[in-house]
Amino acid sequence: MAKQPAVVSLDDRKPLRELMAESAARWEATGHYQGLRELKLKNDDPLRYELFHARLLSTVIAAREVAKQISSSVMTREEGELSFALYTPEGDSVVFSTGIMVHIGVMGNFIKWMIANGYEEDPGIAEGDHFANNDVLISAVHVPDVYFATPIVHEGEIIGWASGVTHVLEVGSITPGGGMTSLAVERQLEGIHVCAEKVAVNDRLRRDYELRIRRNTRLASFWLLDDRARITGNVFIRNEVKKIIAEFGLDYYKAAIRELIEEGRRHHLGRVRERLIPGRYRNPCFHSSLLKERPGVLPQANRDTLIHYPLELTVRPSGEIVLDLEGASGWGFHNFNAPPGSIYGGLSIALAQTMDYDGRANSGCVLNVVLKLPRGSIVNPDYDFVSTGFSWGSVMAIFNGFLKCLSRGFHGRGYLEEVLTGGNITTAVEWGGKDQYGRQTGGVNVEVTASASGARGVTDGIDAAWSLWNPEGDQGNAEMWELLYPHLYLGRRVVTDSAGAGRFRGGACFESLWMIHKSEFVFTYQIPGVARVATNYGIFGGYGGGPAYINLAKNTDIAQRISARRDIPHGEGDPGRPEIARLVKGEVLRGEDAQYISEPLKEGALYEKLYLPGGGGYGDPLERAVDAVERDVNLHFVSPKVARRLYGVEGLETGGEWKVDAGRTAKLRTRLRKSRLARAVPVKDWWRSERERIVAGGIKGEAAAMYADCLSRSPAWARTYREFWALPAEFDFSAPPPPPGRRNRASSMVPKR
Amino acid sequence: MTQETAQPLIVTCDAGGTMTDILVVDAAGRFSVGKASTTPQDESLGFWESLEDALGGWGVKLDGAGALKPLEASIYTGTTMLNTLLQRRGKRVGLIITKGFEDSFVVERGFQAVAGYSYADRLHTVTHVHNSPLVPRHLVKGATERIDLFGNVVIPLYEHEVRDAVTELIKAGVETIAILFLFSYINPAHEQSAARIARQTAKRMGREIPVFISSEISPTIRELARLNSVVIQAYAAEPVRAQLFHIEDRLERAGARNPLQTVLAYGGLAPVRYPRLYESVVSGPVGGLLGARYLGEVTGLNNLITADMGGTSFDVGLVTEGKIPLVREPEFARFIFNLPMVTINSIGAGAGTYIRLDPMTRRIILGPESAGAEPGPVCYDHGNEIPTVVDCDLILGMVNPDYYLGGKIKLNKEKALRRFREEIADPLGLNVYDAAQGVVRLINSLMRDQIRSLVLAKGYSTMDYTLIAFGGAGPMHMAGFTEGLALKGLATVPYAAAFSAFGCATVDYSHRYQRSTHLFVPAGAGPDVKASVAEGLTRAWRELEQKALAEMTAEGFDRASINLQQAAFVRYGGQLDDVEVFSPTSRMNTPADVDALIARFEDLYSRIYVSGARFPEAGFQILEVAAVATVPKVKPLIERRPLGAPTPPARARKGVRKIYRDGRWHDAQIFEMGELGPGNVIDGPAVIEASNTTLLVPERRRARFDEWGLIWVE
Repeated sequence: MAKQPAVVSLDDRKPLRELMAESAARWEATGHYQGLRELKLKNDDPLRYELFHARLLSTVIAAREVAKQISSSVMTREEGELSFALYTPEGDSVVFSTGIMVHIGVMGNFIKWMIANGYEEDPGIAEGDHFANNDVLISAVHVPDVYFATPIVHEGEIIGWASGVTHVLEVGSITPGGGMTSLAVERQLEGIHVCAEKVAVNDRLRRDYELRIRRNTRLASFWLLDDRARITGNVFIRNEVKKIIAEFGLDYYKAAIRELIEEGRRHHLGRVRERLIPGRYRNPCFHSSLLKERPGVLPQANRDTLIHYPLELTVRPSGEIVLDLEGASGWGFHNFNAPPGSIYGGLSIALAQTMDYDGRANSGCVLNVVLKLPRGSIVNPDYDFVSTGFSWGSVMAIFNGFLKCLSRGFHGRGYLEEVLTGGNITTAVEWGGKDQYGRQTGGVNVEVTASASGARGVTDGIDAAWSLWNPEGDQGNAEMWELLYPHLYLGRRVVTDSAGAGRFRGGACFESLWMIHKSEFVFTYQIPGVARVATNYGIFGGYGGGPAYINLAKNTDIAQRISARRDIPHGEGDPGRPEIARLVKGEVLRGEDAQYISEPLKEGALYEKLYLPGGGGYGDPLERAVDAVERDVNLHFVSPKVARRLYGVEGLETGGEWKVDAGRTAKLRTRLRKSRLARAVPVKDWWRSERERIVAGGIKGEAAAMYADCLSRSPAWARTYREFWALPAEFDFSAPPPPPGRRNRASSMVPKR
Repeated sequence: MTQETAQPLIVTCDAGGTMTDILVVDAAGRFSVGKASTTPQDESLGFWESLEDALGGWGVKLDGAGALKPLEASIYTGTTMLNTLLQRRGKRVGLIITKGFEDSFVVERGFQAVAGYSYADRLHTVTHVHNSPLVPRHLVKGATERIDLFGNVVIPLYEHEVRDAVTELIKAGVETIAILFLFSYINPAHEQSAARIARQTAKRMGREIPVFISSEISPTIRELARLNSVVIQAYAAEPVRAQLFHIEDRLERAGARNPLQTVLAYGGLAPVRYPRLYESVVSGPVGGLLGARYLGEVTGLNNLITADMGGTSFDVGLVTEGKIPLVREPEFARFIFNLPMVTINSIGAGAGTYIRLDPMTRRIILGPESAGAEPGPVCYDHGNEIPTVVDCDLILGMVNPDYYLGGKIKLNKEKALRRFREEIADPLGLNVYDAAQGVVRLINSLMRDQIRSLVLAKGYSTMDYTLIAFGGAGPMHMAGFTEGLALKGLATVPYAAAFSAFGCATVDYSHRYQRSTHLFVPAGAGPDVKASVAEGLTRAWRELEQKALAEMTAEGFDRASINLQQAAFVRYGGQLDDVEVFSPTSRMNTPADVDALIARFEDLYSRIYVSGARFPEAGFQILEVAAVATVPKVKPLIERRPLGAPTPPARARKGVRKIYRDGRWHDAQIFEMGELGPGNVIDGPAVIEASNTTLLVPERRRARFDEWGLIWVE
């Protein structure tokens, strides 16, 4: 409506949209961010420049600390699931805090989207406005991660943006919790979408917006206090940036924030050239969605699906990286769909942890990374109503593979200490029902943010303290979780044998066993980390960990056992004879059977979540130091059985401690090596027998459907596949057709950038 | 100071990682400072040597038995407990924990795997590492039991499991037992029963084993922090107590009449017999804050920023309206505690901080490690080749190479110059003086950010604060690290190098008591609800006060001398953090008293965050209350002395030296600090030297010595 832009920017006070276009044009023309061939400020006075960066960085870090204290969410307050960042007026990130940094680039794209769609004219952008978004099709990762961005205005000119994200615990989706439930198979079931809306004016939430949240979430304080936390963090950054401008001058600020991004780009390129060998790296990744005949599933989603992400990474001598997912499975009626924004997020976080940690980890780092995401595939859906509730599943699968590709490069260049064998696909539990205070509510427990990393090239993986999306993963205190949810912890233990075996083993995961307490009924919904395929493979001969699963016991005699002071379950123990089946009588469900419930759980039911997927191992477990195996057995990381079978280590328990028997170990290791040789076949023979299996229709069910889908979607990938297996050009899998409705591409009229 | 009048009234000790500082104070408030090397194996040796040094300044000899007869108070702070923890050389502890949680030290909290890390390392995943467990896994035993968040017993304690656990632990040779059960801070019954069983079982086995329970050591929510507290008490605090008894013995033999005291993390003072001695794990840095608060009380400054720059770290703290803010869940030595601790922001930036260039990016990397006393900076010429901040100060002419530690160490300026040029200046393409000046500016700026972020994060403005700089390197850098900060004032003291020890001498006897509550004032609550909340608060405070009075009278204090203050931790319904609000009234008698408390909370909250972050619709929750019990103690006197003429006496002048600032050389007047007195004004550029510190007065600024002994840089 308005003809004149409300606010203009840069020296010549152009609309943001023009600034954005100019920036893109300069990049195209020169290959330098903003055409900056020279880092003038850095070269003229490197110390002043360093100082400027330090001021900005400490600002965003402090903003995160301040904001943390406002939230009512254990995820935000205890686990640190929040981040803050500063952006240029055109939406490029300059500095960001620690935390869920996966969002940094994605939030920038949200700002760019608003600029591209004329927000300067309507609804207008003014100081004190906060714009919110969690719409993945605009730019987000999934519904519970809500973004707030606020402009920083200096004498009428927008000179940057402050933006923050927190993970909200209850978002009003089809089932209670954070909208990540498997049952949200379409966008409309995911909960409240806030679509790039102006939700606060003068740093205060609008009443109509608050009302909407109150009326549409099951416990609004989770969402509304997190909103306040984001506003607080953003205002903190805005105020500080103004002081920094007063100190350094506006011209310096404008030039320096852009130099920092160009410097981030150069640092990243230098790092790639230093640490990776140019060439092609491949790492096919997989996941599965298990919905067939599950209670509550809509008809179009009633199937089990295997998902394929054929990751190929090309490292060019210049340092440019191309990440290509040609041949990926099509999108589906499940919540694993991962639009480009989420892939972009996974990329930023993976690079920040491995290569850009000590540079200027900002937008510049991803400028020389090319993403090839085929349209219509799971990583670039062409249906605007796809569910993206667990885009994480796909992002984690892909970027665990990505880390493995990088690790091979690091290894090749001799940077052994940089090797990080991917991690795992974490999972969590959403729940709803009556809480211990008698309220109808819902939430999600994501204590498994403290997950396990894969093995490192010089030592074991990190046990229960890392996740791909948040390198500082933390599980929070059980006492804090019990304040929120009617889940009484009976145990929180290391899962024995969860770590992938190797010369250096993967990290180990932990499990939680809850008893439903002080609630008449509780629904639990498994976030679909439970899978039929593993993504946490090892590297260089290391073994993978297993997928996650659940044990559930209903209608138990636990109350009677307690009053008789008899043993009760505290963990799974030996998976062959789990405590939940051994130490209580009742109806026991395990694995996939326990993933969905058909009736509410009642007081006394036991729910055991095994966040089992430990990290993959590195190197041959037979080369692992025996004293390390001994320590692992004594810490319950490894069972004596696995010590024998995978590590070839024999020992005996004496006086409460397990001791290695060196003589028997040496003999056993020799025997295991011999038996391996006896079983081994030449690769050519293996290839021949596998090929025969393919030709003879030995690949069936979901696997056949997956390959048929990929072959039909990408001629290029089909050619590669058929060539590798020397199959005729007309070869195809016989498989059921893709899900009904996949071809109906309705438009939601989301304006595109 | 003459021999006749100087008699030690207070002895305070700050035993750092390298040096043990002792400050003795006489009845007239005069101090003498002693220094000796710290002796970690038996701290009493370093303590004694340092005490002899300090008393030697007054000509008092320690050989006679009555030398310490006049002593009113002796206070110890130090890093022994911390070092016991860091070096994992504590007691062999057995742990009994809620069954199912035996792996708590193995998985600990994810956060502890990055605790204390720099930004880059926090991102850089391959660097993350867990703490090595304080209790080996085989000495951790589970006992079936559960108490829920309301304090109800859901699973009774399986006493037979406790008995078996204790038997096994004792057989495994534990020296002490710690017990932690979930929600014991609400209902300690299970922990108490388990402790009783443990003692009985040990007795039956013919052993006496100290037993510690978390509900006594740290009765607050968050089991991991509580676990750290109870185990560290058993593991590190008890062995330190033995050393402190040793010091106490020697003091007694020299005539001292009162028990040795130590400083607690929240600024309290307690005898070394105090049951929760682990609360003194961070006693050292607390001293400076306490000293500043006292200085402020005497001189009428009630908003202070403290900035302590030593050799290895830079610690910033705040005194607001005479009060020191506390953090609830501090992180220390890579452990999280739920011990109230004075707010101190620390960074690895000190005079000994290493300066390096990143080989790839050519960025300057400062620290975080430092050269320590050995090998020390490059200019010590004791083998270190990596330039440090003090080398820069020397290069720039700020430090006198012949008067370092009063001339005890001769500095090799030539070598400092050469190494700094090779390592830093040449690769950056800068002239050596500009580069050195740049480094000093950079470290000053890092410190400035610490100050700013601490003040801002609390919602205050630096303009309302006077900054007191101390620590050996504080006076040298204070003008630099406050540049551009709008402050009310900037000052230091002649005894800056021993200010932490001075601070310990100023503290009152004080204990803090906290307990959990479940009080809620819903939005729009009527007078009945508020009346019952008022009653709940009063009851909780009364209970804490009874405990306080019992403990402090047992320590020998007269009941009438004990002063009590009440606080509540208030939050909006559902929030996970709260704000400590000191109650306007000592008892809640009416609904209006509750309103007044809430109003104070909302005002504080809006100042800390933004007013748009208020959420009164969610109601107000009080999950914890506190009482602080204080008894005044004799303190050093800060005397008001008459002002003399502004012109410094001629004997204070030591000549002229060239110093490099702002890209050029200046002629700086050099003065001897000990010869300057109240009223003297020194115009910059000037350098005022003392044996253990150096004060830089930049050009266009001046140093003014006031009637209280403060040196103002204006």
